[in-house]
Amino acid sequence: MTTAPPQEASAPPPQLDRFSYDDAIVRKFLCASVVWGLVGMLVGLIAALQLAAPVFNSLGLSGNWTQIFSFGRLRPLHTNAVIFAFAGNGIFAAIYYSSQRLLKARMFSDRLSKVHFWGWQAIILSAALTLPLGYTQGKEYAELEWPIDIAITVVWVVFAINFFGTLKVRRERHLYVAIWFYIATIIAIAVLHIFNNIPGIAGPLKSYSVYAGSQDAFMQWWYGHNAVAFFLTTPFLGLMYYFLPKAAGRPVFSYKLSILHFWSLVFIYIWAGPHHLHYTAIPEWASTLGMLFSVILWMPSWGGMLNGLLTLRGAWDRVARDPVLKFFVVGVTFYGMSTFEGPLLSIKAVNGLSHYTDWTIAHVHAGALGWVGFMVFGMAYWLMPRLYQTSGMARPKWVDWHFWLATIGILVYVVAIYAAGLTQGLMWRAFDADGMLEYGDFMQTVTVLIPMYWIRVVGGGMYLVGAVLALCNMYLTWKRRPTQYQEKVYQAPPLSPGFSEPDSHIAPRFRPSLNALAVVLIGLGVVLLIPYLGYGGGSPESGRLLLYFGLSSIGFGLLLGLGRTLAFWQSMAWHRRWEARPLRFTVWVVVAVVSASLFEIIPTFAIESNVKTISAVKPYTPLELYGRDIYLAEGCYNCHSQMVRPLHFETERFGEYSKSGEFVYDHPFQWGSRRIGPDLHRVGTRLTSASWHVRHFEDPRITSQTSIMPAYAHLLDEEVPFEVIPSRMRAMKRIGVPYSDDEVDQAAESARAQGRQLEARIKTEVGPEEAGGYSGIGSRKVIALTAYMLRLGTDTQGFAAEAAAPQGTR
Amino acid sequence: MTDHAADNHPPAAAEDHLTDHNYDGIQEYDNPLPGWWVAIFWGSIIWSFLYFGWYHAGPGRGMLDNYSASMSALDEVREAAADRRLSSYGELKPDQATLLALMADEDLMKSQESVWQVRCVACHLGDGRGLVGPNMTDDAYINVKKIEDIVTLVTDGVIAKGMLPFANQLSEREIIMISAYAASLRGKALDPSIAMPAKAAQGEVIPPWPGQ
Repeated sequence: MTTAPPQEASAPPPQLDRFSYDDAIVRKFLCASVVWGLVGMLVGLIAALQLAAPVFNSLGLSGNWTQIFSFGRLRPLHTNAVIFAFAGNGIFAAIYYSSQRLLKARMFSDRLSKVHFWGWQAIILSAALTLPLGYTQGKEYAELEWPIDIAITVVWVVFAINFFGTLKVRRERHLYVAIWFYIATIIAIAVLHIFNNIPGIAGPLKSYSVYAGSQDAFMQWWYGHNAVAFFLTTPFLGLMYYFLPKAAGRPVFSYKLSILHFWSLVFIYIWAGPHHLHYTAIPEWASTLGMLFSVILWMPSWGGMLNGLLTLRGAWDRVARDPVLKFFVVGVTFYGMSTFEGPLLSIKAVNGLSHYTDWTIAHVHAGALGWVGFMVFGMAYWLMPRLYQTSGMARPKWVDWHFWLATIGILVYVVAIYAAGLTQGLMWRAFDADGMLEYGDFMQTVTVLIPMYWIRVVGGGMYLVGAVLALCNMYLTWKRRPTQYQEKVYQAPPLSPGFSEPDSHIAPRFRPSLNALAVVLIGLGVVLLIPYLGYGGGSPESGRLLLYFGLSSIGFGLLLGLGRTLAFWQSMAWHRRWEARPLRFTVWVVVAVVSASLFEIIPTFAIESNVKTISAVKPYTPLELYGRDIYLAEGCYNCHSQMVRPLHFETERFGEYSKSGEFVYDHPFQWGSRRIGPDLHRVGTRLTSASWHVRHFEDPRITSQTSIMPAYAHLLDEEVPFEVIPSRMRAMKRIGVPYSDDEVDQAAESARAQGRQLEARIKTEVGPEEAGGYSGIGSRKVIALTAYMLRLGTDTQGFAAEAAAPQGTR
Repeated sequence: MTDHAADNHPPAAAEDHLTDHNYDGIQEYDNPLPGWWVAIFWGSIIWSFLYFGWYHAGPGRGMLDNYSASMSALDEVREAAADRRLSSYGELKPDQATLLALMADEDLMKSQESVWQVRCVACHLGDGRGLVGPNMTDDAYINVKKIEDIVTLVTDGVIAKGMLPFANQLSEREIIMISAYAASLRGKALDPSIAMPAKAAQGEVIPPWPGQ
C-alpha cells in the first residue's frame, strides 16, 4: 500500500498548515541505540565468559582494577545498558519518528528533543562510570544512585512535555493505537521510577531505600516487573503498530483487539509483580494475586502478537523476501513465546522449580534479544534508508546475515540456558533414598553448568557479531547520504475547535444488568449472614464452604455484569470518542496504572500482620552495616539470594526458612533473583568460622576449588573508612532504624572495637603459627564484610554469635 | 494467519471490513475478536476466582502447610532409612563400640557422604584434608583424645575456633552417624582431584582407633 501523505486530503480547506518532521533527532536516537546496544551486548558477553571461566573477572588486570570488572559490577552495567541505553534509545527513535507522522505535527519543541537526547546520553554515561565503581542502590534495574535518578526524572519530564505538547498541536483528530501505548509508557515509567527510588540519602553517591525488607521487595518487584511491562513491552507494541503495518503495507488486523488488549494489558500488568516473590516472606495472598493476574495477562499479551502476525495475512510472500519483515516476525513470535512463558513461570509450583535458576535468565533473554532486539533492528533497517535518504541499505546481504546470525544465536543461547536452568533446579531438589540431599555440595550444581555456559558464550557471540554487522552497515549507509538532507514539507489543516464525533460513532447508552446485580446481592447476603448462622468464631468447614459459595456467587455476578458491560464495550464507539481527547485518555491510563498499584501497595504497608515483629531481630552493628554496604557495592546480590524458601529441599540445604520480620532493618532488601552461588540468608548459622570467610574472599578457589566467584583480595588490603560510618547510620536512623544518638556518635569507635575483636577471633581460629599473617586485618574492609556474613540469619536462631559482636552494641 | 496464510493477493479476505481510520497511511480492519482469544481470556478470569476461593477461603492448603507436610514426609523417609540401616545396632549410643561398628558398615558410611557434602565440606573439604578446619585424614587431633570425643565435638562445636555446634541442626542419631564418618576419614588416601594442599597436623598425635 502506498502511504497516504497528509497533503492528499481532498478539497483542501482555505488555510493549510505547512510543516516538516524532525528526522535529525530520530537519526541521533537510532545511532545511539545501535552503538549502546553493541556496548551492552559486549559487556553481556564478558559477563557470560566470567561465568564460564572466572579468570575473566580480572580481565588480565591487577590491583584495584580487578574489582571494577568483576561479575557483580558488570552484570548491572550489562542490564542497565541493554535496557536503558539500547532499548531506551530505540523506543525514543520509534516514538519520535512515528508520533510526528501519526499526529501530523513536528515535535512540540526541537530544543526539548535535544535536551532529551543529550540528557539521556549523559545519564547512560554516568551509569557506565558509577556502576563499575560500585556506586549502587543495590536494587536490580534500579541500581543508579539518587543524583542520577533525579536526572532521569528531569529528562523524563522533558520528554513528557515534548510528547504531550505534540499531542496538543497535532493535526490528526484521533490517536492511533501506537500513541496509546506511548502514553502508557510515559505515565507508568514516571510513577514506577519515582516511587521505587525514594532515597534515604547518606552521601553524594550513597543512599538507602526508604523501604525495608518485605516492603522493599514488594516495591522493587512492582517496579521491576512493570519496567518490563512499560519499558520493554508497551513502547515496543507501539513500535510494532507503526512499523509493522508500514513495512508490510497491510491494514492492522483488528481495531477492536487493539482496544481490548491495550486496556487489559495496562491494567493487569501492574498486579503481576509479586510473581517474582513466590515462596518468599511476603503475604501469601499477594503472591497468589501476582500469579493469577499473570495468568490473566496471557491473552492481553497475545492480543498484541495476534494483531502483529495477522496483519501480515496476505503478505507472507513478502516476509520471505523482506528482511525487515523477517525481523518483525521473529520478534513478535518471541513476544508470543515469552508472554506464554511468563504466566507459566508465575504458577507457584513451576516457580518453585524455576526461581533462582537460569530458567529466568533464558526467559528474559528470549524477551530482550528475541523481542526487543529483533524489533529494534527490524525498525532500524526500515528506517535507515529513509533517514539517510539513500536508495537502500549499503549492504543488503549483510542484513540477511545479521538476521540468521541473530536468530541462530538466540536459539543457541536460550536452549543452553533453559537446559542449565532445568538441570540446576532439579539438582537442588533431588533427594536420595535416605532422604538426604543428592547434591549436598552446592558447587556440584554449578560446575555441571559450565559446558552450557560456554554454549551461551557461542550463541551470545553470534548475536553480537550480527549487531556489529548492523553497525557497519549503518555506517556505510550513512556515508551514502546526500550532502544535504531534504526536509519534506507537508500540508494539513489544523484541527477545528468545534469538533463532534459523527453520529455513527456515538455510543449506545449503557444499561447495567439486573440479573448480574441480583446474583451479586445474593452472594453478598450469604457472606454477611455467615456470622449470624453461628459460623463466625471457630470457622468450621461448613462456614468456610458457605463463604466460598458466597464469594463465588459474587464473582459470578460480577462476571455476568462484566459480560453485559463487554457487550456494550464491543461496540467500541465509546472508545473512538476518547481517542479524540488525549487528556481524558491519559487520565484513564493514570487511573488504570495507579489504582491497580494502590490496590496492592496499600495493604502491604497498612496491615501490620503482614510483617510480624520479631523481638530478637536487632539493627546491624556499625561494622556490619558497613560490611553490608560493601556487599551492595560489590553486587553480591547478583549471584546470591538471601531468602530461604519454605520448601523442604531449601531448608535442608540452607537452614530455617526466612521470615518477613527478619528483614525489617534491611534497607534495601537483598533477597536476590538468581543463585549462581548459594543462598546467604543463614550463612551466619552455617559458616561460623571468621577465618573461613577471610580466606574465601581472598580467593574463593582456596575454599572451594571449582568456585566461579570473583576474588576479592583487594578487600584484605583496603582500610575501612571508619569516619563515614556515622553518616551511614544517621541516614538509616532517618528512615526508621532505631539507632540511638549515642550509637551513631560512637559508631566509628564501636566498629573499630568489633574489628579488633574479630581479628583476635581469627587469630584464635588459625592458631599461633598463622596468626601473624592476620595482623592488622581488623581494620580492613574484609572484616566488615565478614562481620556482616557472620551476623546474617543468626538473630532468630538463638545463635551464639556473641563472639563476633562487641558488648553493648547488640 | 491460519486460513489466509496461502493468500498472496493483496486484499487479504473479502469479508474483512475496513474502518474509516487512516493514520499516515495505516488502516485498520474492523475484525471481531477471535473467539478462542475471548474464551481463554474469560476462562483465565473465572479460573482465578475459583483458585483464590479454593486456596484463600476454601479447603486449599497453603504454602506453610505444604511445607510442614513435606517436612514430615521427609522425616519419615529419613527415620525409616536410619531404622533400616541401624536395625542391627540396637539403641544407638555415643560410645566407642558403636562408632567402630558403624565405621565398619560400608553401606552406612557411603550414605553419610551427602551429609558431609552439606555440612562439613566448606571447612574440612571433600576428602577431609582440612582447610580452616583441621585435617581429618592424619593422626593428630586437637580436641579428641578418644574416638567418642568426636560426638561431643560435633554436638557442642568449638565456637571460638569456628566449629559449629550441630545439636540444633541434626538429631542424636544423625550426629553419631556423621561422627563415625568423620572418624572413618582417618588414614584415608587424599582425593587427587583436589589441588589444595592437605592441612598440616594440628594438636597431638593420638593412638589409632581401637582395633585398627
